[in-house]
Amino acid sequence: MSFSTPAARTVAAGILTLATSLGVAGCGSDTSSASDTSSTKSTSSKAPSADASAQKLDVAIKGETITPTNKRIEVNKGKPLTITISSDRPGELHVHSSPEEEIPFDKGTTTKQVTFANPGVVEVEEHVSDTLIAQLEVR
Amino acid sequence: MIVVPMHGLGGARDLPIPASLAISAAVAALVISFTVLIVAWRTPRYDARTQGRPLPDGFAGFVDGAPLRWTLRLLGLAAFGYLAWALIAGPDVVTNPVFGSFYVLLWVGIVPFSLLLGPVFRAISPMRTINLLLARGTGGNPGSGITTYPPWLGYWPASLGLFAFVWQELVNETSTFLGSVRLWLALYVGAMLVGSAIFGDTWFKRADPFEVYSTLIGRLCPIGRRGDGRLVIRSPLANLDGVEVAPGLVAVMAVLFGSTAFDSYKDKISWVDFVGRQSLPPEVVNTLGLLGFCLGVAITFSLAAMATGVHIDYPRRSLPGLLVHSLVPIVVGYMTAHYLSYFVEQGQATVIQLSDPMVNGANLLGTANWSVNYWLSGHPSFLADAKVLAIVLGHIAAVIAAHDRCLRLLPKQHQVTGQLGMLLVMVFYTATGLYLLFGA
Repeated sequence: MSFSTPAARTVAAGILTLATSLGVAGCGSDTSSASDTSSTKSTSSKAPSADASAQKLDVAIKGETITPTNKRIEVNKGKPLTITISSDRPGELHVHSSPEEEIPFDKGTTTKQVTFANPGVVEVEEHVSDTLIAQLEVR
Repeated sequence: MIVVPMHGLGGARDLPIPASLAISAAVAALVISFTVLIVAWRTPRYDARTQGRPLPDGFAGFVDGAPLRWTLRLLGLAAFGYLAWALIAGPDVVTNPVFGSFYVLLWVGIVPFSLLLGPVFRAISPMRTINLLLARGTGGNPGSGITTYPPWLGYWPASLGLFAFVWQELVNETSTFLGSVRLWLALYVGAMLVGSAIFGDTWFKRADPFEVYSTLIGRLCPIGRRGDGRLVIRSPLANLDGVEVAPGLVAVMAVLFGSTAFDSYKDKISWVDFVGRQSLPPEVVNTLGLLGFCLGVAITFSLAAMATGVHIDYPRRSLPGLLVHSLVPIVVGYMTAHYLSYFVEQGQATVIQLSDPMVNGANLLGTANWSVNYWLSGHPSFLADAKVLAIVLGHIAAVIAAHDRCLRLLPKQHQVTGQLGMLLVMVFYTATGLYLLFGA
């Protein structure tokens, strides 16, 4: 493998540009990224992440109608999230974390606390009606 | 109400990358692309037929020797048999290792294994081995069948097979039911065995979706074969120059690329909302979406490749096929960005599950008590940087490969302006890839 000078220059210039841009933007992106991404979607409702011990997700189920649906919510990892389900029928909530959790519920009110160990996007769906309730952004 | 799982495999997905990172990377890709166009070499440098430093004879002899080849074939057959046992006799639960083996270790694994080892699927392909054994057993030649493979058919069967796989993985709502995977694999085995009986083992080279995929990705391995058959070590871009062009190659690349982009897009709330509002069933809408993405790639790439002054030796219609090899690095970049944590973490989970194919508490391979290491998920900043780096590096390699090929294909006066279309479409693909990693 031999590199001629223009090729070596091109590759070097490219790597320098890339390294600079990643260095400027990539490092320390964790703390600033929360505000970057949450501003893009107006339907996302923020969990009260400032008061870290009071994260909640309230789900209301009337037959096939579920509130909320298709929501994007921010959640802190390592701190419990209280899921409260008020339903008029039995069903199952699937929380697609790694590993997954299932929350079966009956008529009435069911409460469960879940804590996520790893960052990621965790989908919460109501299994019987196949409805996406929320995508939790765990940071 | 039919209960269908909303999900394929895997638990949590990756966080979106920060906007600032996405934008910097897109700008870097744009700048590098134009730099390459203006500053790079003016005569073609890559020639897969002649370039490369030959590997030592002993090593080359070992790699091509019958003992290694037969060991690999038998390993492939044994793995196939083990999974067939789990498939046929195992329980229909998501922890049956068949699902992880099919969707993660095989499908996603083709990329890293082929990058490291070249066209590795060909070496282990259980269908090839069965065809070989049947042919030897009946005193025939595995290379020949009832008739020869028609050249005009090219890679079209593989593009259909690949579409069938990505449809099964991304759209089919029963994708994690055992019966569904049984049906898919039964059809695959049937198509492979019947096809190879009719056309000989050329069928695998052109119609086996996994082999075609692995051979294409394997073109980026630093070890390749010269025109005279010698194993050589050389720049992956020189190796890439040797992609065999045949009808349907653009369709194959369009399916590989379009499906990865659609996979990113289909989980976005905006798409999920859209699907929910349609009167057509979600599977139909998602099929149309998948098809739309694949066609979109095929059309934009073909138009960009043809938007140039044309050399008398290379008619306009032949240009997309002659240039589409340059999308292979972009596909690798997209696959890495999209599936890195999935492969590493769900792959570990599958290796653990493989010890317990009947899901009854067994530990046949000794891995059942291992636990998954979630280091990658636990470091989202590193993961975001790795994904963006993969996409940008894939982009750079693609621009260089396209540039080099254009130097052969285009008439002298069009060698810079003729590349603009390709360059812009690649920047568009990279920017889209970054947007998909970022958007909510």
